[in-house]
Amino acid sequence: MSMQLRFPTKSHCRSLLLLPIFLLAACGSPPPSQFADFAKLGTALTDSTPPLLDAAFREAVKTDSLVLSEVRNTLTDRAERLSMLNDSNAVLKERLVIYGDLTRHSRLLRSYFVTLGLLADTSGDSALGDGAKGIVDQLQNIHPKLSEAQLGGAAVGDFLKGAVPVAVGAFRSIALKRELDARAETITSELDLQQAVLTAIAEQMRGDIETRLEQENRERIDEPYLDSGSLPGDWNERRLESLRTPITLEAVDAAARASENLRTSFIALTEGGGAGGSLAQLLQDVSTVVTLVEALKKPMP
Amino acid sequence: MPLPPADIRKATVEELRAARKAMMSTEWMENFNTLPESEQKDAARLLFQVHQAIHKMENAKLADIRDKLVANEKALGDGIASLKAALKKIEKIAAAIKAIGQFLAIVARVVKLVAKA
Repeated sequence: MSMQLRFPTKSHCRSLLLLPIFLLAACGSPPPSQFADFAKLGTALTDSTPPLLDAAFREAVKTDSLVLSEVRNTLTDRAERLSMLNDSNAVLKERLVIYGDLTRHSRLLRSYFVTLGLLADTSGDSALGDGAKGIVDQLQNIHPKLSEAQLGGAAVGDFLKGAVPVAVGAFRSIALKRELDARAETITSELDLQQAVLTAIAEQMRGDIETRLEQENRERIDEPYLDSGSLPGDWNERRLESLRTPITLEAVDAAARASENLRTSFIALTEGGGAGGSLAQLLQDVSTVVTLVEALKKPMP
Repeated sequence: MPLPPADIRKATVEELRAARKAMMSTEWMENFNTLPESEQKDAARLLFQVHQAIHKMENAKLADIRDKLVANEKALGDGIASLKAALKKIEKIAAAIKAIGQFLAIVARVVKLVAKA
């Protein structure tokens, strides 16, 4: 068997010399690491959306049930009660459909962030450099004269070990920038709408929770106080609880803030200046949301 | 200058929420308990209507945002496809490097055997 192995030819050298130009083309965009951070935080925030929607729906049903039981005390006609119950159920079912659509959509947005993160992830690129050097090492075993060849003042293998990850990194940057240019308007709109959803849900939950707390305070704190007789043993604890912000509301407020910061970070990325500062704030906000959502998942005492 | 419709809806639902909360309060109940039965029934129906109006307006707002998000879905899907295509190119480079390395390892062994023979 005869084999002809070629040393790096002029065309190979030309391709390698194009590397700086390739790198320059990638220079106009933020580094992949910022995209990776942005994508990770976007993924965490979209992961929080379904449990927040679930908490919002539970609050809506609680308040609805409360209103129905309040009016039931006064309206004793069965037909009227049934009509009210049916009307309430219809409106809540409509909301459940909308929440289902929002949950499904959040999963699609999550896929986008996950895929963006995979493209921005440079952690495996050094292994590609090792692989490329390995190829040259094997070639040297087959044709020892290759060990004398140099590129840019370094042995070919060492040159490729460094150049391949850089080239792949530059390819990533260009691909990410191309994606930004193509989808900037869509993603900005998407993040605007995500913020609008979370803000709307925060407002709804606040209204529901405030209504429910008003009724609970009346029954558990005010009426025992207004009535004659001694106060319940835990009356002070009831007051304390009533004055604190419920965790569900904290979580959805934090999510609305985080989505605003996600939007700001994305705009900073599209403007090419990098999103360093806003990503740091976003990390803090998303961490808050994740902590609160984890607390929501625990069963209430 | 008249308010934009979105602002009017927002202000209306905020007023309705405030009314619903007030109708759950101790002060409201103290007054409610002094009313004749027919007026108590009217007040109860009003509470239900206010609450239903709030839920319907909230649903309408959410549905509007939902519809706009759904309109974005094709472009998001295109974005995911484009990112995956770029990822595939990198994966091909990795696969090619691996395959070439494995091939050359075999060739190197063959060359050694031939040299010894």
